[in-house]
Amino acid sequence: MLVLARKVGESIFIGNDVEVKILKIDGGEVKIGISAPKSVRILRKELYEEIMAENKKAIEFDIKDISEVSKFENR
Amino acid sequence: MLVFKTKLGELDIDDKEIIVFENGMPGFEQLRKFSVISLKETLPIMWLVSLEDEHIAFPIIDPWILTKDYEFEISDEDVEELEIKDKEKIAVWVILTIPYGNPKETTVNLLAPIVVNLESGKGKQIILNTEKYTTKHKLSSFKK
Repeated sequence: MLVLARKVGESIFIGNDVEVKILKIDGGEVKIGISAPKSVRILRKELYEEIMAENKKAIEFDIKDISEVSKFENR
Repeated sequence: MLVFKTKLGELDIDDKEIIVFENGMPGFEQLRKFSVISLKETLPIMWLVSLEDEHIAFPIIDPWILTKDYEFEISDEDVEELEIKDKEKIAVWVILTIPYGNPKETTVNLLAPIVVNLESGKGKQIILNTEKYTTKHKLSSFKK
């Protein structure tokens, strides 16, 4: 992992077309601005991890429970 | 037609029915080939089954059965990745989490729908950029 220090207002380039700029530092929080082409996916890591965790839970069903769940249709 | 061993048993799957998730799904990045299976006994719950790992299947449902108001935007990059040319030819499902032995607590992940381009056979679990939905909407909250 590359570690570097930046001050507010400074930025770094990743490749040719991704720029990450430090906008504001406030206590334990850093506000960053990212300029990147639309094709570059930018995602908060915890969001991806949340989906990942939910997917792992979703495969842990008991097939015997399904009839109970599909009943909700008969309303 | 090929026979695949899946969580739902051995299934005959036609080439056309294979859905390719080029980047897998979050948590299952290594799995590429899936198919959507409809079993009469479990409808309206359907199944997104892995054709590569017989232990992996997701219970899924058409989100509009639950709520007519469900809506989201597919980003340009996802349109491109899925090669979507015709909006009419996509299918959307959401994944159910059915707690083992406790089906009353079933939740629905409306934040990360499965979008499939029925034409190209490409699929993807899209993570929506919205605060309107979460990964855990109680299924019971949709009951009338």
